Amino acid sequence: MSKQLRVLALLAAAALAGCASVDAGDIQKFGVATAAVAEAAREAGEINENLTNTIRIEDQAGRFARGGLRYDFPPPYREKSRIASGWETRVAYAEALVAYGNALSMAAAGVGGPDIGAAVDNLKNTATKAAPNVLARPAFAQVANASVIIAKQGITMAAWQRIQTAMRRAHPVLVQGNALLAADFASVGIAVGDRYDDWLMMKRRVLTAIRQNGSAKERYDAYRLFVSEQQTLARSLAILVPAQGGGKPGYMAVLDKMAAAHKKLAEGEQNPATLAEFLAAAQQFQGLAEILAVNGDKS
Amino acid sequence: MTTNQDAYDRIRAGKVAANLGYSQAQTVSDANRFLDLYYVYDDELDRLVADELMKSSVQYKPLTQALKGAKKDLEDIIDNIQKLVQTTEAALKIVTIFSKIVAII
Repeated sequence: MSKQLRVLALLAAAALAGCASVDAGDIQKFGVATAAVAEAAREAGEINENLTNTIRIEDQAGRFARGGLRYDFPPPYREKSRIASGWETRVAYAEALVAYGNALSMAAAGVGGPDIGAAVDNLKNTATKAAPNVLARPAFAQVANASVIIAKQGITMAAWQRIQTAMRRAHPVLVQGNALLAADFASVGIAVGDRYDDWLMMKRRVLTAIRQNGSAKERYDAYRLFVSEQQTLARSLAILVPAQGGGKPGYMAVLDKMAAAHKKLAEGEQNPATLAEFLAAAQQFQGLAEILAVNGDKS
Repeated sequence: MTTNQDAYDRIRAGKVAANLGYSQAQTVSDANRFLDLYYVYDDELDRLVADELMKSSVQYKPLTQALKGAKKDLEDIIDNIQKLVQTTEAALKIVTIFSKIVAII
């Protein structure tokens, strides 16, 4: 019983004002950003592999169209790229990041969720009703405080501070992970950008041949088809290769968003004076809880 | 940017030259030779990027572990909140009992 009442001390915070709040919107933004990072990590590993296969097929088609050259049908099997074989550690990191984001979301939902709110409200209402009777007995005079010092803000703040402590510990890991991922995305982006240029060169070569030999309709259709293929391919590479005309590759925005969202959460404003008030109120209630427990055990 | 920029530039120049040579080749053997050359450079590109990734690979493991630890911290908080809800409900019962006892005595 004493243990149960001891926990009541954590609920003491009537004078709290402007305590840290759980911003569900920010947490949601962070969750979405971690999912985007994981998706980018998975995509980046596949993009190079898919593009390499696309180039092999284009190469065989080009050989066939040119005539006289050796070609294979179906296109020859090739070993998985060395790049793909070492990529899974990044995906594992990104998946751990998503799991962390989910846990953060659940913790925040627990703090601001209906369960704790309803429980504390019930307790507060009952304590308020009990106070006039309890006051009649000197042994329970302090119970008068119970009606005013039990507050949801106290429990919310205490839990939220624990969440923020966990986040502050995790933040350097995220910063370091972001820098590593950015460097790795850049490395793979170089290979993918290079191979995309190769693919464009192959397509231009075929277009040149069609222009020299085809009818107007064949030339028109080929051009339209190639543009469509090029646009589809460029979209699929966007996470690693900037769009035509410059700009940044998609991974930069994805990583920046995630780091910014976490930083904002981890550095949520705290008011030290408010915390001191909370602790003082908690200590006051701790004494009350002891009295209640001792007398309760006698009953 | 990568520390291997010179190597990347050399590979890129080699691939462009191989592609150009293929386009302009007058004989089948020349065309085949340029195609082979293209894949030599492409393979070198693959190896260069893979080597760079290999160097950073080892750094992910401790970071992944640290994130798992942070997740565990948050799960502990979730458990703690659940326990707090239960304890608050138990405390409610005690306050209710006290209220009744004090009203009687």
